[in-house]
Amino acid sequence: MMKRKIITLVIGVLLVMGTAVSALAADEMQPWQAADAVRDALFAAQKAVLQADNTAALAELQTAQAVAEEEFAGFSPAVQSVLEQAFARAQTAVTDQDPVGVAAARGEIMGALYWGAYESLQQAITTGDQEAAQAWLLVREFRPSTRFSRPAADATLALQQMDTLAPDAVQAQVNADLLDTYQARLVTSLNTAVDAALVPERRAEAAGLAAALWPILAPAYTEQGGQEKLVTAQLAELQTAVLTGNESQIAAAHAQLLEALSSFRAAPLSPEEQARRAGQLMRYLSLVPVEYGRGVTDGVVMQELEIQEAITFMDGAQAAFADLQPTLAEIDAAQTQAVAQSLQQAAANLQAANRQENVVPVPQMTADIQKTTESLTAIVPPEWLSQNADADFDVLASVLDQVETAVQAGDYKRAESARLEAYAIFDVGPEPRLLAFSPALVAEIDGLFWQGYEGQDGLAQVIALQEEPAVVAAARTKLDAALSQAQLTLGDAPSSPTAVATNAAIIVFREGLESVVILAALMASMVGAYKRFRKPMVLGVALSLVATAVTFWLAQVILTSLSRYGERLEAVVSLLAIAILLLITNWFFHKTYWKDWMKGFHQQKRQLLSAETGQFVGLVMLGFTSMYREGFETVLFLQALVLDAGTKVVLEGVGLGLLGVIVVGVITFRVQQRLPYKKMLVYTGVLIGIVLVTMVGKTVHVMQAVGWLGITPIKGLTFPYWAGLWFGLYATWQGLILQVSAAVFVLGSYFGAEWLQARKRQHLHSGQKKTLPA
Amino acid sequence: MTRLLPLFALLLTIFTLAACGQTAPEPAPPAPETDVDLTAVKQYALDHAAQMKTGTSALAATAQTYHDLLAANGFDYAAAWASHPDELTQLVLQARDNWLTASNNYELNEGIVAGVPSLAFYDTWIDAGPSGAEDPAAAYQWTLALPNGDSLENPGNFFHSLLEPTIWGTKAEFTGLKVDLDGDGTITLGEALPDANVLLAAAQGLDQATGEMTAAIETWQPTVSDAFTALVVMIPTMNEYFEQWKLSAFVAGQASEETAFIGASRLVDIAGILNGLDVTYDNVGVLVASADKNQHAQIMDGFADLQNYVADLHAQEASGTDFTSQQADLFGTEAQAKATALAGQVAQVAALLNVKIAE
Repeated sequence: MMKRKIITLVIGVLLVMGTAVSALAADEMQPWQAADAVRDALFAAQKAVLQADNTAALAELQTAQAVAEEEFAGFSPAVQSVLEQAFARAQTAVTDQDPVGVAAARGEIMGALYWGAYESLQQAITTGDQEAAQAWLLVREFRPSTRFSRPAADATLALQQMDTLAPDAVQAQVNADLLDTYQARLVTSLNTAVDAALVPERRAEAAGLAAALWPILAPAYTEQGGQEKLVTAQLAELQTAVLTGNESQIAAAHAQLLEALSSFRAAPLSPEEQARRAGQLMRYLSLVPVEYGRGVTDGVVMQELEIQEAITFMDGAQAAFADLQPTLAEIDAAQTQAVAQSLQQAAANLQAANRQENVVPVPQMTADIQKTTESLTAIVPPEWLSQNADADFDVLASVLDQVETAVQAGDYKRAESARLEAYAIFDVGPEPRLLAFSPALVAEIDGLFWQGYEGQDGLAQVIALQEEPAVVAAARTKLDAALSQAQLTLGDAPSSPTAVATNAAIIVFREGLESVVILAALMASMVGAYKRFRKPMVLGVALSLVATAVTFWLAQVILTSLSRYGERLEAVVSLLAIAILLLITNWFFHKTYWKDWMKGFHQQKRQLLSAETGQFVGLVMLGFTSMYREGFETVLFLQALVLDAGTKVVLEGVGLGLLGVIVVGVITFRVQQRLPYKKMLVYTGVLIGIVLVTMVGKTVHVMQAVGWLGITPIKGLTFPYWAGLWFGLYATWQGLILQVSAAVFVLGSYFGAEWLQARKRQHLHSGQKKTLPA
Repeated sequence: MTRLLPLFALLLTIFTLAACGQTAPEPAPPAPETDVDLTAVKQYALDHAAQMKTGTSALAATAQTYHDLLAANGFDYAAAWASHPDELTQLVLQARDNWLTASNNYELNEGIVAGVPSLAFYDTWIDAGPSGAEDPAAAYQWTLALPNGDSLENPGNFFHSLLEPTIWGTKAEFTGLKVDLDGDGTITLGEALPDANVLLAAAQGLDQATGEMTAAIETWQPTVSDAFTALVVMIPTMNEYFEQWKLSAFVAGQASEETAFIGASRLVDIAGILNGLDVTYDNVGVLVASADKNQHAQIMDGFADLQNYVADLHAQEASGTDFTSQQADLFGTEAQAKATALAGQVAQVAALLNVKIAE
C-alpha cells in the first residue's frame, strides 16, 4: 500500500514538473520576439514623446529595457555597455522632451541588439548548435530589394547545412551575407544622417544605428589594414553633430567616413562572385554603345527609350564595378581610378543625352566605352574574364526586361530588337556549353525564344503577332523557367575530362554527319569518267580542315571578338554552301547541261576560264564550304568546353569524333559503290535534296537570328523541337517558303534535265530518220 | 531490294548514333514547386474583381447620365449648375461612391495583380502607371479617345491619373467648373463638376479594362513562384505608398498639391494590398512551416503586426486625428522598416524552398 502511494506521488510530481516545464517553454521568448518587443516599445516611446506624453514614453522605455535586460542577458559585456548607456540617454531625452535624442538612442539600442545577435550567432556556429544559430539569425536586417538585387539568403541556407558543412565554411557564408548587409546598412545610415531634407529624428536614429553597427564590421576593417578607432571616433563626431544640428560638422564627418570606407569590403566577394561581377560589367558595358547607337542619329536623340536602356545598362555596369573596385584598386589603384572616372563620364554623357542636351556623337561614345573596356581588360585578372554563365544569365534577364518594357510601351519593333539581343547573349554565352551537357534544354530554350515549344508560345512569335503584354509576359515567364534550369545545369555541369572529351566527340560527330552525307554521296557517284572529280572535292575538304584548325587557333586568341560575330559568319558561310550545293546539285542531275551551259558561256563571253576549270573550282568550293560550315560551328561550340577542361582534353574528344565521322563516311562510300549505278544516283540525289532543304531551313533560322531576314510566324502551326534540329523546320513563312522553293528548284531541275534529254533524243531520232536511205 | 538493305541499315545506324548524342546527361532536377493548392488565392482575386466590376459598371452608367445632362445644356457648366444643382451634386457624389467601390475592391486585389508577373500589366494600366507628362520613359503608351473627338495621349492610369482628378476636380484640364457642392458657402478642395467628356471616356475605359483584367485572372494558373514573387515585390513598396500618404490631402490638408489620393486615403490602399498579400501568404504558409517553423511564425507575426499598424493609423485618421508631417515621416519610416524585414524574411523561405522569384 505504502509502495503504491509513493509511486503515485512520484508520478504526480513528475507530471506537475512536466507541465511546469512545458509552460515555461511556451512562455520563453524567441530572440526575434524579444527584439521586436524592444523595437515596438521604443517606437511607442518615440510616438509618446511627439505627443508630449512623458509618462507613457517613460513606461514604454522601461518595458523595452526590461525585455532587453532579461532576454539578452547573455550578450557580451561590450554590447551590454552600449545598451546600458543608450537606455540611459533615452531616459534623459524623454525627461527633457527631446524626440531627437530619443530617436538617436533608439538607433543605438537596435544596432546593439543586432551586434549582440551576430555575436551569439557566431558562437552557436562554433559550437555546432544549429537550433540556436537559426534562432539568432532571425534577429537581423536585410538589404532592400532593388531592380538588380533581392535580399540574399546565403546565411539562411548555410545554417540549413550545418550538419554537413564545416563550421568555417558556414561562418564564411554567414559573413558573406550579414557583413555585406550591415555594411550596406551602415552606408545608407550615413547618407540618411547627412540628408538635410529629412526630419532630425530620422537623421539622429540613423547616426545612432551606424555607430552601433560598426563593431560588427570593425574586425574585418582592421584585418584589411584600416584604422578602426579612427572610424569609431568619426562616427561619434557624426552623432554629436546630428544631435546639435551642426550641418557643416555633419557634412565633414560624413565625408571623412565615406573616404575611410571607400575601399573597404566587409564581406569580400568569393572568386566565383568576382568572376560573375566581372562578366556582368563587361556584358553591360558592351550593350551601352549598341543601345546608344540605336537611339542617336546624326547627333540627335531619335529614340529616347534606347537612351533609357543605355542608362539602365550603364547603371548595371557601375553597380558591378563598385563591387569589384576595392579588389581592382589593390591591383592597380591609378588605373582603377581612371576606369571609375571614365565610367562616371560615360554615365554623365548618357544623362545629358537623356535630357537632350549636348548629345555626344555615337562614334565618340563607342570609342570611349571601347577605351574603358581595354583599360579594364588590362587590370582585371584573366580568370575573371573567362565566360561566366551566371553573369550571362544576369544580363540576359535585364535584356528580357527591356523586351517587356518595350511591349508595354507598344513598341514591338524595339521589343524584337531586344529579344534578338537577348538571344545573341544566350547563343554565344551559355548555349555552347549547355549544348554539351543538355541539348534537349537548348532545344527548349531555343523554341521558347522563337516559335514555341511543345504547345507553349515562343517569344518571337508573340512579339511578331503583337500580342498583349500579358501574353508576352507569360511567354517570358516560361522562358525564364527554362533559363533558370539552364543556369542550374551549368552550375552542376560535370567538368571531368572524360565527360568533356565525350561531349566534344559527340559535337564533332553530330556536326560532321551532314557534310559526310553530302560528300560521301557525291563522291560515291563519281565513278568511271567522273572519277577525276573526286580530287577537287578531296582538296576542298582538306582545305576546310586546315581552315577549321586555323579558326580553332584564332578562337583561342580572340575569343570574345570571334563569338560576337559567330552567328553572322555562320550565316555567310551557310549561304555560300547553299549556293554551291544548288549549283552542284543541278550539275549532278544533268551533267551534259552543265557542260553545254559552260560551253555556251565560253563562246559568248570568251572568258579566260575553261569549263573544266569552272567545274574544278566549283567542286573544290563545294568540298570546302560543306565541311567548313560545320567546322566553324563546331569551333564555336568547342570553345565553351575548352574553357571548362582545357585544349588537350577537348582535342582528344575531337579526334574521337573525327574518327567516327571518317568511319561513317567510308561505310557510306563503300555501300553506295555496291549499288546499281542508276538506283544509286537516284537515292543519292534524294539524300542530297533532303540535306539541301535542311540546310536552307537552318540557314534561314540563322539569318533571322542575326536580323538579316524578317520573322513572320505561321499562326497556329508549331513543329516539335526535333524537326528544327534535324530538318531545319521552323514555323515561319520565310523558312518554309524558301525550303519549298529549294525543293522545287531541285525537282524542277531534275525534270527539266529529263525533258531536255528527251528532246535531244527526239532530235537525234528525227535526224537519223532523215539520213536513212529511202 | 536486298541491295538497298545495307544502305537503309547504314542510314538507320547513322541517325540512331546521332540521336543517342541527344541524350546527354539529364539536366538538374527542376526547382521543386511543391504541391500547394492556390485556388483560394485565385478565387479571392476573382471575387474582388467581380465586386470591382459592379463599381466600374455603375460609374460608367453614372458618367453617361452626367454626360447626357451636360450635353443637354450644351456643355455650359455654369448654366447646367444654375439649372440643375441638386441633380448634378447627386451625380458627382454617386460617381465618388462608385469610384470608391471600384478602387477599394481593386486595392484588395492589388497585392496579387501588381505582384504576379503575368497580371502586373493591369496594375500599370488601371492603378499605378505614370502619365507621359510625369514620366515619358516609363509611361504606358496608349490613347484615350473622348466622345467629343479629342484624345488624351499616354494619360497614365485610370484610377489616379484620370478618374480621381476628374471626379474631385484636382486637375484643371479635367474640371468643368469649381462649385460649392456641399452648399456651405465656400468652395474647398475637391468640390467641382467633372469634365463630362473625360469622365465618360475614362469611366467606360476603366470598365472595359476591368473586364479584361478579370478575364486574365480567370485564365491565370497561380504558382508558388507567383505567390512568392508577389510577396517579395509588393511588401517593400510601402515606403512609396507612405510617401504619397504624407503628401496627400489627408496629411497636408488643404495645402496638398497632390492631384491623387484625395478620394480615399492611401492607407486604404495599403491596407487593401496587405490584405491580399496576407491571403496569399496564408495559402503558402503550410509550405513555409514545413521548411522552417520559426521563420513561418516570424512572418505570420510580421504580417499581423504590419496590418494592425496600418489599421491603427487609419482608425486615427478616420477619427479626425491630424498628423503632422513629422509624425507621418516617423510612421512611414517605421512601416518601411517593418516591410523591408518582412520581405527579407519571405525571401529567405523562398530560397529554402528553392522557389524562383521572377524579376
